[in-house]
Amino acid sequence: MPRDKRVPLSAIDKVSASRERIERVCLKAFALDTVKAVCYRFAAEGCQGLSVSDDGMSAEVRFRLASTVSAAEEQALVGRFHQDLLDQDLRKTVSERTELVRQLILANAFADTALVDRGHE
Amino acid sequence: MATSEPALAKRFQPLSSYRSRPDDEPAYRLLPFNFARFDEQRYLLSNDAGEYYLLARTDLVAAVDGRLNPDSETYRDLRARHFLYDDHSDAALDLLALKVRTKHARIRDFTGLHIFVVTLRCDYSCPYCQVSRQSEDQSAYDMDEATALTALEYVFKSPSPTVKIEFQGGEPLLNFPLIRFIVERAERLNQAEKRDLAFVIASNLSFIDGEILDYCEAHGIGFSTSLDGPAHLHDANRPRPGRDGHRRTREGIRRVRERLGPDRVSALMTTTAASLAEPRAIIDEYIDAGFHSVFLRPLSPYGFAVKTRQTEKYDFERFLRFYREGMDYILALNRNGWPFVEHYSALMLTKLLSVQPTRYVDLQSPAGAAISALVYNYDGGVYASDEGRMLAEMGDETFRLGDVHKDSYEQILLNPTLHAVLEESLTYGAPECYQCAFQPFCGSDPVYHHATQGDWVGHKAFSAFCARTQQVTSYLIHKLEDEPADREILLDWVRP
Repeated sequence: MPRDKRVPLSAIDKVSASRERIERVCLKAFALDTVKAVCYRFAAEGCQGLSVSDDGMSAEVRFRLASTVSAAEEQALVGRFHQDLLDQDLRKTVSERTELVRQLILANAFADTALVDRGHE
Repeated sequence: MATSEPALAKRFQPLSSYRSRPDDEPAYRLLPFNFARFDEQRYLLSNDAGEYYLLARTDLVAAVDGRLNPDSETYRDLRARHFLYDDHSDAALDLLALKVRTKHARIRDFTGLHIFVVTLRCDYSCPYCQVSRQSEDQSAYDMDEATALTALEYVFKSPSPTVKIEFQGGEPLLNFPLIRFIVERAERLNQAEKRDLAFVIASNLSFIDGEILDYCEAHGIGFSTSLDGPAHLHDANRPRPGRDGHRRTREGIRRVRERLGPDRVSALMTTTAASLAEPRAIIDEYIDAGFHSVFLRPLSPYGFAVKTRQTEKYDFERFLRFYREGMDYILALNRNGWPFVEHYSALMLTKLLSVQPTRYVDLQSPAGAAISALVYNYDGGVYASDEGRMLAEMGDETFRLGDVHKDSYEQILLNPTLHAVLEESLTYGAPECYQCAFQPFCGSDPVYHHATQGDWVGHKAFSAFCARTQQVTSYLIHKLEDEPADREILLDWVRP
């Protein structure tokens, strides 16, 4: 898997506690909405809580892992979580850059008429 | 778009306003798309028109960052599939909008399928059946003519140019006189309406006889039946007195074919826990019965299927293994010269490879509730879908839209619950769906999520409906992109 180099992995700190695992995410590297979206996606894999530090600089994501989850599976889960943070960050970029044109396309599709006045071009 | 409406045009800026960019910006602009990791090497991109593309993450990041080489194959592919546009693709937005509109064409011509539940009586006692009743009292569970007449009025108020009336039960042949009444009234009404009118009876074929076949031949009525596999499996899934359901069904299929023609009977199977170990035997049974297709579908979490804990007997991963094993067998059959189609895959392939809308109720956005089908229950109750009716039999009337005896067609179609369901089932705005790469090939199933999570939108991370769509779609894309021999077979399954 090619590694995205735009966000250094050192931006993310990791703290483990028994079968509860906490992932700390730097909010200077990732927007809080990005972290929320990834937490939603990992809800079925034990992601149970999200809190923001008092200084607003980091988010703590809490995983509750079943005792049957092996160390290797836990590492793989955490790896996918961080990869998904990068992916979600990229989704945010795509969404922001294409939001206006998407609205135009949908309006044009559902209005069933010529809405764009090409005479102004 | 050679012409435009000046008044409407004021509501939108000209295209040039979307093209303002500094000199250091790339020569192309992104069009909206979603993406997801597909495998260890590739990402899946998709857009609202249903186009998809696989590429490496480095290429994805380069495309987003404006660093894609315009001379590269990836660039040309992404432009051709409407993931980006440049000065050489003037019609990109219009074409994309046209494709999006085509994919949603069913909304304009809504409700092509009208299901008449003519009786709940049935000779079978299937443990997963949601609705059937063992009763000798006809008046208790049979639809009457007055109810049928009002329902027929509503059928022809739907704007759909095609109207299919499906008779369901229970076992609908136990109330065949009412089927005759409805068919003849519908034909009379259609002399003025001139719709493309069709009839189908969903029957176990136990009670088929020469008189019924004569009538069906004269009126062009087809049959849909249930065939769960070889005798031991079918009879275990669908017990009836005498344990001869399989023999009767196969005999009924033979008689319908002989009299009405080979294409006038189709079959559906239900996958119970007992089925999961036998995909090949099930497919072989369909071949033996003369079919060239099967629908490998999971058990719905409604009605008696929940009450008798049938749906808890297998998890979704086991169903997917069953599906993959069945598909691998079907593809091998095709490679060996026996044309055979799996219907769910064919539906997904049509969504992947065509802009034409499919009519499959469970994969629509907004949901197919009332837009794809209306159900008229034996007692006059109207439901947004067959699953909604099944849920009602368990005491949950969330998807009951009204009653033909009390409510007008307009009151039923303007039911506030229906509108809330339709609004919240638009995948463009649903949580997670709005950014899901599988969204163009998926849809909403509010009844499923209501039944399994108590919420008609549902939490997608826990949804087996989402898992099925994603994994079946991934399986098919893998076959299309990485297995050339299978690709040739699958392309033949696309039926716009």
